Parts: sequence; structure tokens; C-alpha cells
Amino acid sequence: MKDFIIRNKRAYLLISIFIFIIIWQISSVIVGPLIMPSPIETIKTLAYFITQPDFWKDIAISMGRGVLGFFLAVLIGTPLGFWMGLREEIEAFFYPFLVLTQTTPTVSWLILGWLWFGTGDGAAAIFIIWIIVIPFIIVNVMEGTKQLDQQLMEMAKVFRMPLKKKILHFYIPQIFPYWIAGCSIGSGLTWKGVAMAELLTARTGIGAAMGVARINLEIAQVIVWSGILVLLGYGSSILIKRLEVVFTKKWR
Amino acid sequence: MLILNHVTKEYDDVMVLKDFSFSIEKGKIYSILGPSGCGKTTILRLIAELEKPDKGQIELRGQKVSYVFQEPRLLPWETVRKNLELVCPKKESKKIEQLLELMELKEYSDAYPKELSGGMKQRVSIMRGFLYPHDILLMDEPFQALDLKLKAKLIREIYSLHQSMGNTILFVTHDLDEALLLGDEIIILSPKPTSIVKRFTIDASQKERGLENMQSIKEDMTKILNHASI
Repeated sequence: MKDFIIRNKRAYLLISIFIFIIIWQISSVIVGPLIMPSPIETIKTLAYFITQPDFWKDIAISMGRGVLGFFLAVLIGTPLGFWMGLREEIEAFFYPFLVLTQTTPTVSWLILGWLWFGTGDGAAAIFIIWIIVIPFIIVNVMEGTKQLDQQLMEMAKVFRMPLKKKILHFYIPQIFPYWIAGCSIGSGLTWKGVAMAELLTARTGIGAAMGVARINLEIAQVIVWSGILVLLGYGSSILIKRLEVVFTKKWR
Repeated sequence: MLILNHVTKEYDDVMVLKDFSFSIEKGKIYSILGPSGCGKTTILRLIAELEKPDKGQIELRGQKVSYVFQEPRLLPWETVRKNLELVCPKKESKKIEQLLELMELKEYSDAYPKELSGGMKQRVSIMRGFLYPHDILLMDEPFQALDLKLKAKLIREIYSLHQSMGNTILFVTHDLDEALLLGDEIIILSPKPTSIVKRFTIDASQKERGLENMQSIKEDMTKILNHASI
């Protein structure tokens, strides 16, 4: 039975997508194309969009902001989480910052980012992505650092391992699973965050384009942009999964 | 050459070492015997600077310390060879090959620790202890996971390695025979707070003649150990 299910996984997936499209089509007929454009209408909008240079430009701009905000969070969050995991006093020092970033609602950061950075070049969007992703990187790396195998760390101490060897052969293999889990959560939040942030704080990018579509009641465009965000989120999660598989295989 | 000077060490209000002193000479093997929990491992950990004494000093005088832990403590994500290379200065591959052969692990050099048996892992750990450049080698019950035949072979090999290297070995064990076969001197400890009950010197000729010729020392040691309620 299990083999049968595994063999037919792809078939189940296709059936699921087919049912989703049928429901979408029925909803469109029931509520009308103005409220819910049909799948065909949406595909037509997409077909038109892909011939427009601005469509690709908006995607590229959002991707740039998303990737930059995410990498800044990883770049700062990783050493900070590591340091906090190693030293209790450092954890205590940064704890208020961590609580603040974890508990402040995203909408507060949206408004603050907009007020602090203004609209235009997307600095506010980058800041918002950074601030919503960084606590997940910090917490996961900190947890990974706290879980370091103390017997192995004692061994490293006895054999006077130089820092480079310690980082490459002791810290990275042990902390990596925690780090990649943080990155996975962070990447999911990035594409949700980028659209939200651009909607309020930018004049370019996917979120800004969705804002324009909302004002013009172009619901098909909203659906197309949402689909693009889903693809970006799914693509980055696949990329991270691959990275995880390659390295955990090496370090398991 | 190594001196523990009035060392006191306490864990959670339990006094393990109280005003404990002892000294050892360069180039000898010291077997340390004592009841469970008497602080044998603590002494090694203090010498390896994994713990700090609450009182007293440990005088290492710049000597480098290597350690064979009770558990193999190998990096699971590195091969046997890499685990050994990590503690070696560069260009020691010839020495690694020699030791792999000696420990009968040559065909496992590219295996990962999870592919080895407990005894094999422990042998890698012993090799690592010898490969790390040191003056003093601390060994904490290193033969626990090994069968009798391999244990006897390893004791012989360790003794000959020690003779060629001239290192000092501090060897903690529960086993009287192991202590007698390897040690130039045997130190018997009391239950905690630990003190030295007696030191026996075993000369090289006695060791060469084997365990059968050390029966009287063994009997003396057994009496002392029984008296020390081990």
C-alpha cells in the first residue's frame, strides 16, 4: 500500500492541482470575473505580463531586496547567535533586542520602516526583511551553539585546535543543521515580507505593483503577482533543502 | 617534572581531592589504581587543564599534554585518517600509516567512526593520543572496549612506542594486570577525598618476565586495594 502511494505521489499532486483549478473556475462563475477572475483570464494576464519589461524589472527589484535583506540577516545573525550561544553574558546583553524583534508585530516594523527610510529606493523594505528574519537566524544558531557536543569541544581544547580547524571541523558541522533550519524559516518570511514592505514603502517591486493592481481593481494581476511570490518562496525553499541534503550527508 | 601541589577540588560540595600532592618523573609510565569515583579522572582532567583546581597548583613547566579519553571522542563526520591528521603537525602521514598498520586499522583509514566497532574506535583514539606532539600522555581506562587478545597486544605496542618516544604516561585503570604490565610505577589511591595509599615500583626485568613473575606484588596490591575498601 505504501509503495502504491509513493509510486502515485505525482498523480495525487496533479489531481490536487486539477481540483484546485476546478474550484477556482466554479468560484469565478458564481461570484463573477470582476471579483474572481477565471484561470483562463489569469493566464491571459500572465501572458501579457511576461512580454512587458516592467514585469521582469519588478521581479528583479523585489528579488534583489529580498536577497539583500535575507543575507544581511544571515550575515549579522549568524555570528551574533554563535556568540550568544557561547557566552551567557552576551546572550543576556542582546536578549532585549531579540525579544523586541521577535514580538514586535510586522505591521509596526512596516510603519516604522516607512517613517524612518521613506519610500523610493527600497531601503525600508530591506530593513523590514532584515528585522523579521534576523531573530530566527539568531535563535537557531544560538540553540545550535548551546547544543555543541561538550566532549568533542574538550577534545579540541586538549589538542589545542587552532581556531580555523575548530570552525571548520567542530563548529560548522554541528551548528549547520540549526542554521539551515533558521534560513529555511527566514526564506519563507522573506518573500511574504518583501511584498508587504513594498506595498507600503516602495514605488517599485512586486508589492508596489500589487498596490497599483489593487487600486485599479485588477484582481487577475494580484493573483499573478501572488503566484510569482509563491514561486519565489517555493524556489528558495527547494534551494535551501538541496543545500541541507548536500551538507548533512557530508557531516552526518 | 609534573607536580601536583596541595591540590583541592570539589564538585557540588563533594570533596574529591583535598590537599593532594604528587610528583612524577620524566619518561616513566605511571599506572593509577583506585576505587570508582575516587578522583582518578579528575586528576587527569586537572593535568589536561580541563578543570581548574579550587586550591593548589599543577606545575606542568611548559610540557605538552595529550589525552586518550575513556570514550573515543572521534569526529563522526570525519574519516579515521582525517581524525588523526587533525591533531598532527603537517607531513606526519608516514607516522599515521605506521600507526594504522600497528593498530591493524589500515584498511579502515577512509572509514567513518560509525562504520567501526567500539574497540576500533578506541584504537583510533589511542593512536590520536600518541600522534599529538606531547611530553605527557594521559590515558583514562583506554582498554575498556577491547578483547583480551587485542588488549595484550596493545599493551605491548604502547610500551614499545613509549620506549621509542620517551614520553611520560599516566595511565588510569581498574585492572590490576593492565597496571602491572604497563606501569613502571603503580600508584594506589584511597576513596575520596583521595590520597596516595602506596606506590609500587616495577623494574623492567620483572615486566619482561611477565605477569607470572609479579604474583607477589599482585598479592600485595590486592591486599591494599581490599583494605582501601575497593
